[in-house]
Amino acid sequence: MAVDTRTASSFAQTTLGNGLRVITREARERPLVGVWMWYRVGGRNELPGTTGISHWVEHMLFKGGKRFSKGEITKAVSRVGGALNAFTWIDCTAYFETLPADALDLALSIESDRIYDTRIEPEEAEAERTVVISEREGSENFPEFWLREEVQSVAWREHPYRLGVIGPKSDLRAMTRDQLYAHYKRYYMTNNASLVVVGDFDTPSLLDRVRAEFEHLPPGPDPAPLRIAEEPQTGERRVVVRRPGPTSYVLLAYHAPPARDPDAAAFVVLTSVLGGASSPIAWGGARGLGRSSRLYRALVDGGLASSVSASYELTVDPYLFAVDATLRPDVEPARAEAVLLEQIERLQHEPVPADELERVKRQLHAQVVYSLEGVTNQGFALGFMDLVVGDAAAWESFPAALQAVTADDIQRVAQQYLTERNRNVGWFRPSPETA
Amino acid sequence: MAPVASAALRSSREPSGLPRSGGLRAERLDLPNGLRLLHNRAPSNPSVVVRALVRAAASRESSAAEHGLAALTGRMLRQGTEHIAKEALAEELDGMGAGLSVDVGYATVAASIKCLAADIGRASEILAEVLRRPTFSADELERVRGQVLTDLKEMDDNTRVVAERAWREQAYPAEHRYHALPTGRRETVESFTRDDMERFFRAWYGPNQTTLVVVGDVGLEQTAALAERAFGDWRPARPDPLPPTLPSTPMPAAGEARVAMAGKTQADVVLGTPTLDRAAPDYYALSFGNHVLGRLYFMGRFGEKVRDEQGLAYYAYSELQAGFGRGPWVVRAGVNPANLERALASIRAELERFCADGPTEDEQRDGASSLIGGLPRQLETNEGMAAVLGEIDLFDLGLDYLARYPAIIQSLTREQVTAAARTWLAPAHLVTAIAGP
Repeated sequence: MAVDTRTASSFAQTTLGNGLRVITREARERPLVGVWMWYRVGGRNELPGTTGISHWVEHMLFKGGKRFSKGEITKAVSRVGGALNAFTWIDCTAYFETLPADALDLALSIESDRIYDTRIEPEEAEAERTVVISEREGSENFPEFWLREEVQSVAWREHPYRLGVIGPKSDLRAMTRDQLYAHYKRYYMTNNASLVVVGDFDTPSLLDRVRAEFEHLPPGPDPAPLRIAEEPQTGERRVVVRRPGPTSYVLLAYHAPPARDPDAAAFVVLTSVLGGASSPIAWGGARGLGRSSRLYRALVDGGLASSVSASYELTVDPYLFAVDATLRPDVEPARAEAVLLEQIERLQHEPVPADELERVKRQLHAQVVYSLEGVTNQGFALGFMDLVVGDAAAWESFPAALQAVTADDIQRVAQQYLTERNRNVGWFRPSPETA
Repeated sequence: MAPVASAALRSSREPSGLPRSGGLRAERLDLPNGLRLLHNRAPSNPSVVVRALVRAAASRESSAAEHGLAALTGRMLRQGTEHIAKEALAEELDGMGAGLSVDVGYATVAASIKCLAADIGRASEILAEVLRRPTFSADELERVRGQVLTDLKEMDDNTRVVAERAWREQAYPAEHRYHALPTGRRETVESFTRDDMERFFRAWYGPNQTTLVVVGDVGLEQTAALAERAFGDWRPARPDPLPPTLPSTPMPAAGEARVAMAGKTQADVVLGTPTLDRAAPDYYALSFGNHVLGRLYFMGRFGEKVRDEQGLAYYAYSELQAGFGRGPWVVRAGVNPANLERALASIRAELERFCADGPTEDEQRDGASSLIGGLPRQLETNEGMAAVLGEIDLFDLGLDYLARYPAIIQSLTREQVTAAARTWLAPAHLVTAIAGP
């Protein structure tokens, strides 16, 4: 199935002398521009004691540098009708501005300023401590957060993915301003970043402006590569979380291949067969797809759950493939788990029928198209695929690879990865006082 | 079928107001059966949003015993129709990569299909099928009821939802629909029968209660033909469209409710007051005031004080939901219980300061430039454009609304904004609800 040319025309890429990778794509339908700055630092670069430090540093990059004092970044972007934000993930920290095209220089100057000159004042770091703790506490109000965190914590023995992104409260209470600043200095540098610009501009003139803002910046010492490699899991691990809550939840997670692995495409298709498709390369897409998926049929139509999902993320190191269900209050977790396992075993025993596979590929194609609407989403896809695969061209080649996945591929990866010894099972059970 | 109006949407702030293609043009067509069609061609992504807005939502329920009937009826639309069984519907939509969603609010049911442009013909037929011929099968009703009851149980455990409910119960009298959420309660959801749903459906679903919004890579002529084919022979349920109004309501006395919930770490706060109707003359001034208080820069003044300066919360912002009747204005914040009193005091102090002094000159200038300059961004996606067209239709703003919008915003003065805040955000009517540990 051909990807529509309007969403898949090419991009340009160049690397400055200081190592900053610059990825650009002209999209001139509207007078807008989306600017992303991606840093190759996230939860995977953290150790116990300072877990959550990348995310906290991300907050501090809005607090002022040399050219922008505190509050000035958000004010300047608001004044021109722009939007901005940032997020931290296990593999990266990324910042974006979406602006009228004539305000593009503002975004370049913000990113050029905060890469090296963020101050991280002690009193600002202190004020942000409670904000980050509050962010965590907001998540703690949801049963699914506790279950996910618990399953992650047993799925790995060594790899920092087990620690997540937000960090435990004990680390968030203990971390110091100097630790934040050292982390910032270790990872924020031109040679550990990619700048992505998509929108209404002329590429040569844009590159002149990018050079003017970034070329004079010095590179830093390359961050040390992550040496921790997880040994294969050797048997099922099970956890039960008992807390006040409305109902039971079940989560099954298996170690799965990273984005660069040739099996990644088969895993995306397998996940979509089970839980319906979403775009693997960008946020966004249509809601309400996937009601013909196997898990929806078996658990929601089957009267056991109010919702189900299957997830597989494109990551730098091997991460998790997971299925989960929100159970009806009268359903025992063991029963739902058995049905989830039945569906996984079915993938191992029978090839996915051709018509079903075609339906799933069509969903994936459509979701990728939807997810590339707008300059910000396109910038995300280019920057994200550059980061996890190491090549921005994967924003086109990976969706194409999905269409080439065969029923045999799916059966093979299901047999190889979705095994008992590679499985982590979590149940959330409402504790007696609220059950 | 005759064109009623057509207007190019222009922004005064060139060049950022207009797309390069000049395609930001909305058209309206009326079918003889009363169905309205709003169309905007946006060719930059090969997809389309087809959204039916039906005035068959929670405000049509006749009493508290019916609360949740509109929501359950909406949820049953996709559980099988006269010509398509539920499973076949799911397979066909998935086979096109099309997403169907049904959201039931107070004023409208929004039934939307997002599909690839090539599939718009069949997608329109499917949308018509679920809106016109749902079967409300008894078996499916029981299954969906079970899902809704689980959802309600999760909502009972969600601090944000519990705070919102407690706020509404204080802010609106029991007979007003805004007193409760559109979802209904366990008792009402357990009580609804297939006949209740049929009756509600027959009373309220019809072409003269419906606006079809189509945005994306499809021309007007094709859209009009598809609408005619899918909806042209739909007969009105009632002779005249009823305006989707809600009664006005007395303003509440100031008050506070706290709901203790086991196992929670964060308290969610909802603080605010009923305000005005979307059609009220003060609407734009109050909306601008809300922008400065709770959105501008990064979550407005509440974000600046409560998060940036004091570090008391991850989020603190405000929103104005002016609809029909007195829509709510509320501040929302999530805070640690130890910081609760300080956060509440800070929010109230900031509101008082705003009512006394209004926006600063900088805020007035930046607020206007951010709203006007932000329009192209807001309209960049088909979903964003469909949302604005839906608002234009629901509140009868006229197809030239986006062209007029910059002048409306620029004409506002600091005095008007301050006066609107004093009138509508008075401490005497401020209601607070807190749910948490």
